[in-house]
Amino acid sequence: MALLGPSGSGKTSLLRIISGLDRPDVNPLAKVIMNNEDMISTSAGNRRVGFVFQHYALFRHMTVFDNIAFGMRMRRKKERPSKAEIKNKVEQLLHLIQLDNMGNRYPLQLSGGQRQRVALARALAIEPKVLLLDEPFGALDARVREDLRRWLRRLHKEIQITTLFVTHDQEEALELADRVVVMNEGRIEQIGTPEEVFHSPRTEFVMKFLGSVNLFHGRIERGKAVFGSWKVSGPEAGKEEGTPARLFVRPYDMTIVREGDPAHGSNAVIRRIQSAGPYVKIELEHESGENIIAEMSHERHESLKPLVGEKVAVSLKNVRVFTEDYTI
Amino acid sequence: MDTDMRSSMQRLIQFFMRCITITFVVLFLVLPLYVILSEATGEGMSVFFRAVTHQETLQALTLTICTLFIILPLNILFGIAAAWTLTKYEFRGKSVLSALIDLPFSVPPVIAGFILILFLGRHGTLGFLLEKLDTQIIFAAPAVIVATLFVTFPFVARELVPLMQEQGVDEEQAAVSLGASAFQTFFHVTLPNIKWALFYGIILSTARAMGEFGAVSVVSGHIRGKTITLPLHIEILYNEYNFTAAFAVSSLLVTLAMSTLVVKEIVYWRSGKKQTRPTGGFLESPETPDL
Repeated sequence: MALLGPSGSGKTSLLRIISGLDRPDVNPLAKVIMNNEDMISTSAGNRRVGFVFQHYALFRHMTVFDNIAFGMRMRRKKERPSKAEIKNKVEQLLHLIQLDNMGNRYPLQLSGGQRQRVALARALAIEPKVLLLDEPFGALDARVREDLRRWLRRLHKEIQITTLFVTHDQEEALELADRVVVMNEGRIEQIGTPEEVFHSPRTEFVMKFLGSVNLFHGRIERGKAVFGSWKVSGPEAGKEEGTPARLFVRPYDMTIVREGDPAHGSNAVIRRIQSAGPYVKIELEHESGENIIAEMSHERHESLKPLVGEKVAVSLKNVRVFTEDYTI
Repeated sequence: MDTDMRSSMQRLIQFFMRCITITFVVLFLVLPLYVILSEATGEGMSVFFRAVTHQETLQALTLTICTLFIILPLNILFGIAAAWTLTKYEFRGKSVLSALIDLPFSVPPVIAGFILILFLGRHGTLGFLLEKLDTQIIFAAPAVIVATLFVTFPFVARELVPLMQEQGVDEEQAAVSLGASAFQTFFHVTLPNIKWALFYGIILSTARAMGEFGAVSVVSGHIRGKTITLPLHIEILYNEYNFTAAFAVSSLLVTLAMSTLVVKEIVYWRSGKKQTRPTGGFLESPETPDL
C-alpha cells in the first residue's frame, strides 16, 4: 500500500503515528488498529512495527551485521534468541538483501542502495507485523531507484508482510502498490487500486497529481458542461445554470486532426513539437488562449506530419469534468 | 612562466607560515617547558625529589587529584544531560539555557570565587543553613571542589552539543522502533556515537580542573596542608622565594597536564587505527555519504 501526496501533505506524519514514534494531537477518537487491536497507547517499541527511515538511520558505529542483529539483541532476556539463532537469522537476512559477504562492513562503506537494503533487513529482523517505509527511494539516484523498486516488489511477494510506504513519486506508487492512498493537506483524497485512482480519480487533486493533465475552464449551460466548442453531457445536467466547471483531459487522450476534417473539435495552433522520447509531445495554444499539451504516437506523427504554427483541430476523449462541489 | 612564478610564490608563503608557527611554538611552549625543567633540577635531583615529595606537596597533589575524581563524573553527568536537553528536545527558553551554560566561560574565575563566598560563606545566602548543619564549605576542601566544578562544567556539554545537533535523533528513533528501551538506546546508540566528543570534553575539563587558580585561590583560604591545590602550592613556594621547589612542583603539574594530552593522543591513535577500515574497496560506486 502506498501513501502518495505532495510534500507537506501529512504522509510521513501519518506513517509516524502508525509506528508510534509520534502521537496524534489530543483526540480521544484517534485509533491505530492493527490486527483488530487498538495500538494507540502501545509504545513504539512494543508495536512490532518495522520502520525504515528516509535516510536509513543506520547505526554508524556498528557493522552491517550488528545493525541487523540490534532488534533481536535488545529483547528481554527471556525472549532473546540465542547467539547462534541470531547469527543464523542475520545471515538469512543478509542473503535476502543480497549482501551476503558484507556483514562486517560499516554503513559508511556502503552505497545508498546497499544502505537502504540493510535498513530494510534491520526492520525485518524483528519479525514485524507491519512494515513502514518512509520515502524508501527518495535519497537514491534514478537508476538505483528503479532496480531497488523491482527488487522490493519481488521481496514483498516473498515475505508477505503488510507494507505501507510513503512516496511523492506517483510512478513509484502506481508501480509498487496494490492499493494507493492519495493524500493532500492532511486529508485522504482517495483510496483505491492504482487503476482506480489513475483512471477514475474522485477529486480534482487526484486527477492533477497523477500524471500530467490539461485544464479548461467552462460552465454549465442547458444541462451540458460547455467549454468553448466542446460540450460534455453527463449527470451534472441537474446543476444550476452557469455553475463554473473545469474539464480535465490527459495529453494522450487528445487527438489532433487537420482543420476541415469532419471529426473536428475546437481549434488550436501548434507552438512546439518535441519528438524525442517514447511519444511525440505537442504544445498547442488553444483558441481560448490556454496552453495545452497533447501526446501522439510516432506512427501518427509520421502520417499527420504536423508543423509548428499550423492551425489544427483538437478532439477529446475520456474527459473528466469537475464542478464546484461534486464530480461526474 | 606565470604559473611557475605563482607556484614558487605559494611555496614561499607556505614556508613563511610554517616558520611563524614553529617559532611561536618554540618561543611560547618549548622554551618555557625547558626552563621549568632545568630550573627544577638545577640544584640536583635530590633537591627536586625532596620538593616533590614534601608533605605539603603531597597534600596538594592529593587534593588536586581528589577534586578531579569528584568533578569528572559530575561533569560527565551534567554535560550529557545538558547536551541531551539542548539537542533532543524543543522547549521555551532553550536559547537562554544554552547561553547560561556558557556563563562560567565568560565570568572571570576570581569573580566566580567571590560569588561562591557570597553564596556559601558563613555570612552568605546559605550561611544559616550551613551553620545549622555545623559544616563549612568556604575555606575548606569542599570549596575547592565546588569552585573547580563551577569553572569546568561547560566543557563536556560544549563538546557534545554541536555533535549531537548534527547527528539528530534518527538513530535513537530507529533503536526505539526496533524495541530498545530508553536505557538500551542510550548505551548502545547514543553513547557510542558521542564517545569521542565526550572523551575530548573530559580531557579539557581535566586540564582546566588541574590548573584552576583564580576561583580556587579565592575560596580555599590558603590553609597550608589542608586546602592547598598544586597551583596554589606553586604560588606559595614562589612567594617564599623557594624557586627551585616552585619549579619542581610546576614540573609535576606540567607532567600531569602533559600526560592527559598523551592519553588523548594514544586513544585517538588507537581509535583511528580501528576506524581506518576500508578493506577491499567498494563493490558499488560510493555515493556521497548522507549519514
